[in-house]
Parts: sequence; structure tokens; C-alpha cells
Amino acid sequence: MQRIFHIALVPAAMLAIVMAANAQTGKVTCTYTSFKVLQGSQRGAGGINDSDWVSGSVQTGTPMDDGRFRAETQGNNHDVSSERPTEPCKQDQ
Amino acid sequence: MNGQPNLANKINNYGTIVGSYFPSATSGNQLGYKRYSNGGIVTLKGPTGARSTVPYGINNVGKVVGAYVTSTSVQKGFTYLNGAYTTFYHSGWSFLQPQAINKQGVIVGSYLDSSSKTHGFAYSNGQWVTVNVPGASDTVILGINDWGSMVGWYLPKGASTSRGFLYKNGTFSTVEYAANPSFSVDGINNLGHIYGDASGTSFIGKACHSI
Repeated sequence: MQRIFHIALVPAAMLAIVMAANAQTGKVTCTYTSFKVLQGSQRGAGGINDSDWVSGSVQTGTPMDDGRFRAETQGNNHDVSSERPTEPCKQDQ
Repeated sequence: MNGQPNLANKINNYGTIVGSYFPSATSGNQLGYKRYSNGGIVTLKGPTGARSTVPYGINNVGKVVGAYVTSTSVQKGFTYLNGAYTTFYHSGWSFLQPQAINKQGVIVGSYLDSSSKTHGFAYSNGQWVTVNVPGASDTVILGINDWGSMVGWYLPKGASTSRGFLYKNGTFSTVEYAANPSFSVDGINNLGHIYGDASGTSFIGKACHSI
């Protein structure tokens, strides 16, 4: 059951989300690049930026987790705590 | 980081990553971090009174979003920008877990209701919207891009395995990988490229289309 609050006051940026109330669930597929991290990624942790750099975490021991990022163009996994991106990035705030 | 478990979450277009770590082997509480592309790290201790802080998302102006646990063990949401925290919370919901924020400041994530069901939510300018995948018993939103497309995972009613989903242009779709449902879609960028997990594999998906 979809529940929607404050429909009349929803900002414009959220209108498209509100419109999902009666949506159905179809299927999509994509052109995929697959990769494996050391011992399996942690589901639900991570992201992807517009350069296709991926961040996330892997379980490297018990119960050790390690933050990682992966540069799509390099195909390697990097440890957040010890590696730097080899491409310069502008620094945000 | 410092030899303790650490988690990396979202990355923005500047290569800045947010995540969390355990400050010591005996601490059950976490601290947040913001790691710049030059390797510099800023510790995020959370809003005043935070006992544990986990940043989950960051947008391209460097605004961080995440969850923190108060001294009375209530989990709330926060944003962080230029050294200042703001907090947000919805009464009646528990385990509020904001996961991502886009350019417009729309925050998405999940919460637990009084029946222990997990729902997705979108939050902007003090307004809340619950977002559930049709036919799902539980929904978790993990990412949103600047176009309002969202990704995450859901649990179909009666099922025990999650499925990754993509919400785009008013339509929810299960994301299939190798002709099977994926487990989760963790992130989406402004090109519509997605990052997720399937059986034993992580993937980047481009040029996604209906099947």
C-alpha cells in the first residue's frame, strides 16, 4: 500500500516521485561491465559518479570491512585508506 | 583507517568519498569521514549529542547526508556542509537511514514502520514521501541522481531474496543481470549508469532498457 504525505505541498523536485503511486514493476537490462572485488562487495554500500568511479566496501576478514573505490578505466580495486586516485580530481567543499 | 573496520559509501564527481569507521576495537559506535581525492580526510563526528554517525551520501556541492544515533538511541538524519550540521526526523518512523542526496537536495533512504516493515522515502524542504515498489513487502532506496531516477532493492511479498530496482520516468523496474534479477542496485549517476550487485558479481550497467 503506497502511502503519500502532504501531496499538495510536495516540492517540484519530488513531483516525479509522487507520481509513482500507481506504477507497475517491469524489467530492465543493461549493457554490463562486471567485476569482482576481493571477497564480495557489501550490498547496499557504495555509489557511482559521472566518471563511472565506483565506491563501496568489501569484507576483507572477519569482521573487517574495508572501504574501496574502483576506477572504471583502470579496472583495479583501491583501498580508500591507503591509495589515491591516479587521476587528479577537483576538490569540492 | 587506523586498522579498524571502515566502510566506504557514496562518491561524488570530485572523487570525494564518504563513509564511516570504528575508532577503536572496543567501540560499537562509528564516526564518519569525508575523504577528498587528494587523500585528505575530515572526520565527521555528527550533530551535537551524536553517539554514532554514519554518512551515506554526498552530492556534487559536497553536501553530505547520513544517519546518527542520539544519546537516547534514536536514529535520525543529518546533512553536513561547510562545517555545519542540520538534522531531520519523522515521528513514528524508526531507524531512519538517509542514503543519498541529489543536486536539488532531495534526500532518499529508508525507515522502519511500527510493523517492522522497511519503506523507502524521499525528503525535501521538510516534506516527506513514502516510496514503495509495487508488490514489495520491503523497499530500500539507496541512490538518486539529479534527474530524480532512483535505485535500491526490494523484497517481493513472500520472497526471501531481494531484487534490485530502478525507478525512472514514473516506472519501477526490476534490474536483471545475466537474465536473473540482481540483488541490489546501490547507486546511479547522472548518465543513468547504475552500480549494483548480483550473485557473486558487482556490475556497472549502461544503456539500460526495458525488456
